[in-house]
Amino acid sequence: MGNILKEITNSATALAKGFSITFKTMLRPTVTENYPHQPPTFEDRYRGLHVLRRDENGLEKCVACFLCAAACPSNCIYIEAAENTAAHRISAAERYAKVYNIDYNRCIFCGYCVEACPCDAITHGHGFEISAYDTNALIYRKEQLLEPLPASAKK
Amino acid sequence: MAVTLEKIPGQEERVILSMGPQHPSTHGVLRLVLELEGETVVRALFDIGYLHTGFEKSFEALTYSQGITLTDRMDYLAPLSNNLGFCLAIEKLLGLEVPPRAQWTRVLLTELTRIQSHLVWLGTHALELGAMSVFLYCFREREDILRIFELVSGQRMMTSYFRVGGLALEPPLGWLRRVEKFVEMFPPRLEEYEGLLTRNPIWLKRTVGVGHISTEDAVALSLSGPSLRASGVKWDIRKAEPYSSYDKFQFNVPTRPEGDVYARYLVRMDEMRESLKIVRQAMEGMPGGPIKANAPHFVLPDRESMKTSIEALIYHFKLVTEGFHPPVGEVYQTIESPRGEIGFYIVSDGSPKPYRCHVRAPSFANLQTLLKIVEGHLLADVVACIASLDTVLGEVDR
Amino acid sequence: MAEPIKLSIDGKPVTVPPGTLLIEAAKQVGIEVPSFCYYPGLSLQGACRMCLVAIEKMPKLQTACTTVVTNGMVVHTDTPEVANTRKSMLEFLLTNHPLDCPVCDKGGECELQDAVFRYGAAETRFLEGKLHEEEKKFSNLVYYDRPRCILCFRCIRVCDEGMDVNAYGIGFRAAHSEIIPNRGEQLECEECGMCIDICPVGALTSGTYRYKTRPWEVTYTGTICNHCGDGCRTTLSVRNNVVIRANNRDHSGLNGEFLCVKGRFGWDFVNSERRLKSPLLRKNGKQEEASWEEALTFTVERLKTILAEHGPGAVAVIGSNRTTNEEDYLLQRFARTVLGTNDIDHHRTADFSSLVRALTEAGATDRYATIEDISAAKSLLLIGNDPTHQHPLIAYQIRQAVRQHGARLYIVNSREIKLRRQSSQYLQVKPQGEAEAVRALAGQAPAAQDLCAGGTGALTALADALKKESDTVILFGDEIQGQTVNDLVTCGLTLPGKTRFVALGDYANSRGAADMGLLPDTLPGYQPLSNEKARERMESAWAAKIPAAPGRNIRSIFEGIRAGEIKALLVFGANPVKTFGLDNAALTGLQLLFVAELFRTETAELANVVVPAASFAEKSGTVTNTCGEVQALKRTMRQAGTRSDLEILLALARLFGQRWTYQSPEDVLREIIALVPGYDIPLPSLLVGRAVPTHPEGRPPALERPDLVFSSRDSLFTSGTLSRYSWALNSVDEAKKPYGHAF
Repeated sequence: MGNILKEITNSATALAKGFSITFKTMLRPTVTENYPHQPPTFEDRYRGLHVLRRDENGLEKCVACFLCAAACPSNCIYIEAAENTAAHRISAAERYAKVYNIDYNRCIFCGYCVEACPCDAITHGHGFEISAYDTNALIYRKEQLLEPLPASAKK
Repeated sequence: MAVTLEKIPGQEERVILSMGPQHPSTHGVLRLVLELEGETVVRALFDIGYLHTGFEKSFEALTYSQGITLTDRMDYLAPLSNNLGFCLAIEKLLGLEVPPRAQWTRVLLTELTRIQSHLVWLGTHALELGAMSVFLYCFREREDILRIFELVSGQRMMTSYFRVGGLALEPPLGWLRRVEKFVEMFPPRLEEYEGLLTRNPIWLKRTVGVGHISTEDAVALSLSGPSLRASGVKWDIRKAEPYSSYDKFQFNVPTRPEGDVYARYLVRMDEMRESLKIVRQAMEGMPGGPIKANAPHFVLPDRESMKTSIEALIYHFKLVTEGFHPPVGEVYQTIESPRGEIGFYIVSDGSPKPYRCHVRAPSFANLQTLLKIVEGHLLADVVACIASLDTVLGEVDR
Repeated sequence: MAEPIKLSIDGKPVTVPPGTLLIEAAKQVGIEVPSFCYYPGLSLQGACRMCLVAIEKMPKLQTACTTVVTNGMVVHTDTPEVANTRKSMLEFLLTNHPLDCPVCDKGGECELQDAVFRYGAAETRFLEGKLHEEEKKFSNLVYYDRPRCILCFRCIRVCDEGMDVNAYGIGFRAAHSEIIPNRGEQLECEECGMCIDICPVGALTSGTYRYKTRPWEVTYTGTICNHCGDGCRTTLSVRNNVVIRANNRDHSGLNGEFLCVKGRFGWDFVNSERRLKSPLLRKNGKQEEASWEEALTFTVERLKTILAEHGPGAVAVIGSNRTTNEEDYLLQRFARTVLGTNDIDHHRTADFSSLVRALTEAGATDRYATIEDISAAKSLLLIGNDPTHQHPLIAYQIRQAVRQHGARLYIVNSREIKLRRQSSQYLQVKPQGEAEAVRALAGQAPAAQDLCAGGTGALTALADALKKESDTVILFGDEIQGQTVNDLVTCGLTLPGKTRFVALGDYANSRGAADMGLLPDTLPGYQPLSNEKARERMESAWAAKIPAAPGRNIRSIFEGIRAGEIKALLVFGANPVKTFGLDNAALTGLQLLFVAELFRTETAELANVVVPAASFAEKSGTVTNTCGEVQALKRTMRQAGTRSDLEILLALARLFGQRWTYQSPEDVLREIIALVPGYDIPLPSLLVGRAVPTHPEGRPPALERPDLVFSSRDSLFTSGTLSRYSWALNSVDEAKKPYGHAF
């Protein structure tokens, strides 16, 4: 008989303690983010979708050195290089990336490409909404990855 | 070949039940084949390999530094611990001395990893035994730790932050304040979890005396980590074979003699407190200095000199495109991950890619005790047993 | 034999022949001594100072590349002093080196990068600015970047000593020193690109590989160059089914690092936009694209009709000088057994048949010279031909023989060929006088007084000199043919030692075409059709009848077409309209002209059916070089729409109801090894990339008429029809210069 009483008391105490904790939590401010209705927050270093940078003159920083492709553990970067000419100048150095594709089916966002880039041309942006119904759409081309021309460099 | 249990003649009334691989409480894609008499498990077998990724083979195709990204994904609940084990193994092979600041940062981050891993364990464990709130609270606190990881490395989970010879990036200014905030906030929260569970009669009924592993069995089945310590063995790599300056930190190794699910729960709860102690010490005693070893043949030069000096540029180019050439030899390095002893065995043939890399995964070794402990228990207790071992299937099926 | 020298390097005992350089001795025991200017085979320079080593009892460090080993020498390459010196030398070499690795084509396979990574410092101590010079374009194929140059002079030496072109020199002084070309701002040379290949840094880079890719991004396949008859091994770098570069990357095979302009740059016809990608079928007088099935069915139907109406004598086949042995073998099997005609021939560029017959009759079939024999020869007799243009590798090996071990070169030629600079006796004869000179040398007929400028005395002097030589290698071009070959062999075999012979034919598989019996009167392996035993052997192997009467040769085939006797002509990989200067009316009498080609050539334009063939990069098989060495081609890529001649032949045979069981070129090769005399070559050697010599033996019929054998006289920049479709070969100014222009 005493055992049952003890059990009831114990259960009641545990219940009271438990509920006190959950009730306390109810009064705390919420910590969840209201995505997708509000944009999520990121730390500065967040490794999201890549952005190919331009220099102050609006020229592409990438010189198609292929270091990012070499550093990539998942082989997701495909580059074709070409030579700049006076009439058709894309980057500040002798060569530029004619084709620069990142296959986001494969990319693991490890940041090795950014670490490898000697020109600070490839960086991680904060983009993350890349889901697609078609895997082909996940192969991003240079045009999708490049940052827009700065207003000052527009002709 | 799928694993099956043959019925024993004369005992046809027993039910053979396949649990998993899509069962939510198997923590991944573990498949159990159970022979039940009524609700009691008579025999059990498991079927692993549903998450086979070929990590160990993949290591052979990637350079040493590229291999770090694989370790993240093996035990996805403790990426930094795995990063650390792999890096330490390579550093041992190369004979590299890592600067104190990098070591302290590594300790701090791996202890935070331990806490967040244990939080996932606690949350899911409680959820599977019916306590939903604990799950939500644990994930709330875990998120704080993941944000610290994101702050430092850029990713919440797949951090790839440790590099051979140190760290990938200088940690951002003011990051320790974020850690401090967490350290101050966390102990009362830990009390709350305990308040919800430790004396809760339902919790006690589901865990006390369930899934008992004797000390002898635990040792014989090479159990490691908190599960081993809950069977009364005081064995912790951080104390036994200190690495990354763990010998310079003060902490206790909590043990329990009972060896049941409840004991494993208590040990992990205590471990979180101890980890917090280590984090606090690392934070307060954080030395100054570089974050990378001075070993140009293995460690990327800093970005400033890479852009201004041709020598550094050549080193950068060669390290990125080709990788470094370690001496020929083999090395084994083990560390204490949240799940137990994780060991990396690397054979080098002198080329920039490992000739072989084997991982002694704690989840894999710990899982074999499961068959022993579920026998004779109720079907519902199988869930508690699986959860209390805290396995990650990504690590089991490397 | 002199006593070997014993010394010790880093404590390891080494035994080497006297005269060995220290750097080579170290290499023998696996000790690497870094160096830039040292290059095996080139003269010593001692310019880069990277190879400094410590030698006991010598006060200062010594350059290992110029020090000859002596007995008891004790050498250390692992002392801190040596390590520091290497570090300092690299620092010095990098003082003005720009931060170009990301844009430099050499990045990833650069000897300087490797040396810095292994021996150099990781940080610079210089704060000063670097001297800068703009990049210079020496030609469309060669670019020079002064700041990257480390002045090792390898390019200067290889151009002078290896190529005998001397297109480079050193200009200006001190920090402003640079490599300068021979003509103002431009190179005027053979454009062989050896300087690019040999450059340890990215100073000299290729105009065709420029900024295309990275060495780790491409797949490398070793195969054989398809231009001249020397059979150079080359590595094709392929990315995305496009050939990007050719260089003999592993320096293997009979050519080492050597490739000429055609080998190094002239492969780009493979990528040409003008390649045929679909079969063409003439409908209503116009060639229109058709499917493979349509084209082949049409051909076979038309052939069957002609065969039924006019008999097998109305069908003739012309083979190629470039297709593989397997394809040539199958082609003649197809002609002889399926079509039932011996009217099969090809453009013969050297009289291989006569050489085989002469050597067989003399019982000296071990006297075929290999490329290696040429470079190792002590004495060489070159009659006719101009190897500098027609056989760049053989010319290179002749120069090597002369320069490396003082071989004597004797030349009989009616033209002032460039190799005369290396000759010890050069006998210039009157035009077409080579054969007369050979007959005179052989004592068959006295020489006319006006044969050579110096009178007959020079000829006697040559004969006397040759009698004093031993182990002479005799090379002859198309000038010597028929009976004269016999005279030459007879006379050559009387010379002291083991005289060897090479007939110099034009294209990649001229020799193979003759070996495989693309001849009207000869079966594979130079067995005459009249030899019943040989014929029966083939008949039983093929389970088919071979017509016994010899067929028409290529000239008679054209006459037969004109006379209306031949109604159908099948052409595989040849352009007879251009090669034989046929006029437009020559082929109009045909009811069927079937052409398998890469491009729409003059012959293809006249055809009823044109099918797109695969190029050498797109097929496997074997080719035999002009010395009779067999080497394997390896498929490196695919070209959509094309089929190899082998596949085309198999498809035609299938449509004729034949049950040929070949699955791959290897199956055909196995049959060749089993059936063709002289071709019993070990397959494994072939597969690992070796050149396997053959020793054909047979008595083919004598040459019917003198105008069957003639060389195309290709220059360095032409290669029959193919060179037309190469951007690189046409882009260099030198290609526009008249043939025979020496640099």
